[in-house]
Amino acid sequence: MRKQTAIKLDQLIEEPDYQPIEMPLNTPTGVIVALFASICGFAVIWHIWWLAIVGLIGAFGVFVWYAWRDEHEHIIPVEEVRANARERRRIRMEHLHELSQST
Amino acid sequence: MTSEAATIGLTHSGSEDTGLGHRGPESKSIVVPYGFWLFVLSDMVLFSALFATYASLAHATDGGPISNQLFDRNLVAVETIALLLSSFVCGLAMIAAKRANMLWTQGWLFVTGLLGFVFLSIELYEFAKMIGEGAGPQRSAFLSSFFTLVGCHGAHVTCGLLWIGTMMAQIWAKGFRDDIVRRLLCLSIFWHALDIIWVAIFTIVYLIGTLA
Repeated sequence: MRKQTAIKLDQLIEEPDYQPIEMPLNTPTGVIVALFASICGFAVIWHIWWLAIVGLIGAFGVFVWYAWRDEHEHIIPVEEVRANARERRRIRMEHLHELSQST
Repeated sequence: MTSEAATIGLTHSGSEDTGLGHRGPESKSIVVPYGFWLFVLSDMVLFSALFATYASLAHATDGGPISNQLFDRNLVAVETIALLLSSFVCGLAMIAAKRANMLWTQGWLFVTGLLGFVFLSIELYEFAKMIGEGAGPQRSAFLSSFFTLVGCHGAHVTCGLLWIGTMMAQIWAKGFRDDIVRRLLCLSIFWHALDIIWVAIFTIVYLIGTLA
């Protein structure tokens, strides 16, 4: 329905009030902990006790290292959000214009 | 009433406004525990698989020792009391943390960990005794599933103890910051969840297992 209206009027809904977006930082922690946990699991199956201890300490160490970071998030500034959204609106608008010309 | 509930409650009332209105995302003090609940529930799914395994293998003793001969109700009662009490003390630690009281938070967290350690020691003693009597996990399907189920719970408690220690150090070093308090909240959810699972183990493994 909205789409039909948009085609008929040949315009999109009004631009919303964009807000900055909070995003988590990328982190390899999960993969590294999983690696140490796998090492530990392998070692326990084959009774290699020293390697099991290495795996446990490694996993716990990475966990603590990660937990001690103070920055876990970054903000996408509102200018960037707006610029991206406007670029997308421009493309949609072109498409919409084509559609309304053809109907 | 409401303000007191807010002080001791586990969630909600402390939630900060995101400034995006009621159609915007929930605040982090809601979203973070919610995500952690998803993890806890997936953990419960893991345990339900182990419970099902145990229930179907409980009588597959291969002529070896049966549950009635192995389990000591009194010992397990002490174990259970230690764990339930540690959950209660964990709640006290959360109250102290909500009031940003460093001394009591650290104290109660320490007692929580101590009671968890008592629980774990009794469990390891029980395991060692059983293995010493030749009732190790290799003896029968019943014992394999027993050690998997109860051992998995014990491994969770061990992780919980490490987490409690880390949490105490973090509160000490970083204070009652919002993100630290959220972690503490997740820890308390984890610890209570372990308690719930233990109640099921206590009932299904130990109580039903020692019926005459």
